[in-house]
Amino acid sequence: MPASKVVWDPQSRFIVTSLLPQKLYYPEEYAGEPTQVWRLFVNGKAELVAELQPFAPGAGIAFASDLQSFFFLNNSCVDGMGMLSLYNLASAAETPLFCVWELPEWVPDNKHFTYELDGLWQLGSIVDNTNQPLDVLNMPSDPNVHASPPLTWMSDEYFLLILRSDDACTLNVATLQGVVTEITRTAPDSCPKADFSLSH
Amino acid sequence: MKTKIIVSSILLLLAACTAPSTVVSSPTALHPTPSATVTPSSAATLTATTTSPAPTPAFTSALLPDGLVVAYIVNDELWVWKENHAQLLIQRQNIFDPLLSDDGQWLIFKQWHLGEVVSEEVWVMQTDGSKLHRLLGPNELRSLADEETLLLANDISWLPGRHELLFNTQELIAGPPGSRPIFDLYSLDLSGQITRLADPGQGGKVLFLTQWIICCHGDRFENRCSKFGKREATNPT
Repeated sequence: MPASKVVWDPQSRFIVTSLLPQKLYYPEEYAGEPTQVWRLFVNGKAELVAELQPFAPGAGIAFASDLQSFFFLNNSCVDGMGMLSLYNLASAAETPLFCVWELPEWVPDNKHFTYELDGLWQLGSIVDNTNQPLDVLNMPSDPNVHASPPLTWMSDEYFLLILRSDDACTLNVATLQGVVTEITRTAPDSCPKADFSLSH
Repeated sequence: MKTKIIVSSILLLLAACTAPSTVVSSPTALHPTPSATVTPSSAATLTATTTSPAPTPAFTSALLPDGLVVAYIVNDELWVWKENHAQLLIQRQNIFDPLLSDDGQWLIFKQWHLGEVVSEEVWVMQTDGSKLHRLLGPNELRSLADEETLLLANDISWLPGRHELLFNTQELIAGPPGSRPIFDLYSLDLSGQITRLADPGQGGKVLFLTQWIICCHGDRFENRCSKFGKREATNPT
């Protein structure tokens, strides 16, 4: 079965990935086997880290870049939402947080994450389990302007941000604190396809 | 023959899906503006809505990371933005996927060509606009396989910290739905020298970290790790 997203250990010792159940796509044969999370070392050693009952067949896992923890969704919510759960790889502790529609994205500090709920982008924290509207994406005073996540992170602080409106599309460099620097502005139906590099 | 028909259909479908938009817009809107820090119209009314210690929107300064280079394509124009200045590098039809080297000195992009069979080329140039040349095209791909085999360049990316690229190809076969793609893996330097790193069926999507690379087979759990600097590479025949 396909391995999902693969993340390197920051010290290059191993990767972590999740493995979907063998029979997942054969409903008549699938008996609820768990999704497995594996740690694969560069010397060939493999270690089963966790087994999870996913929210839905094929539901993903979002690893923090430091590989201390990951998000997944389980099925303890109603109305098709998934319970956002935080799994600590060191302690194997599983912490349910709240119901969401989709997995959030980690912020590079590995302490915060972004997600959308009821049309509003939020910034959550795993440190104190708080969240607040992320206004650099919500543009609360101008409903004509829409951000186009996912965010392309360039460093711990900066990300590329596409903002669309009826009048224009802009490519920006932004921070979560709301510092937005416009790189270019185009017609609304021809947003730039961009890449970046940071050399020091 | 049947294979060629299927391949052509796939390529045409891909071309239709990925061709840049041809919508004509007002000329003024298409010209990149010099870099400027802007305050979105929403900024004036942004206020923190909770007392959370998480970041609070401020819109106060115009900081940019050091050494930032941004490459982007708009309406068949390839632009590079650096040091607060946007420069038009080239204007060509059907270009897409700009990709900068780590140090921002080099840039590759792809270009579709519509012919008997739709083909894709990879071009490279310096971000000052010089040294534009083709790196990879149908001729180079044909040299990697026998005459009966059709290859598509499936993925291409810069090696971290080097002016060298990795790419894999996918052999196009006429098979039932769910057939396993056959990937291999090559390195490519800026002179166009191609070196085979993994044989057909042994390559896959490549993930980097420092000197290690990993090829992830799309349908197998066994992942392969190899140390790039110590690989035993052979030139393709």
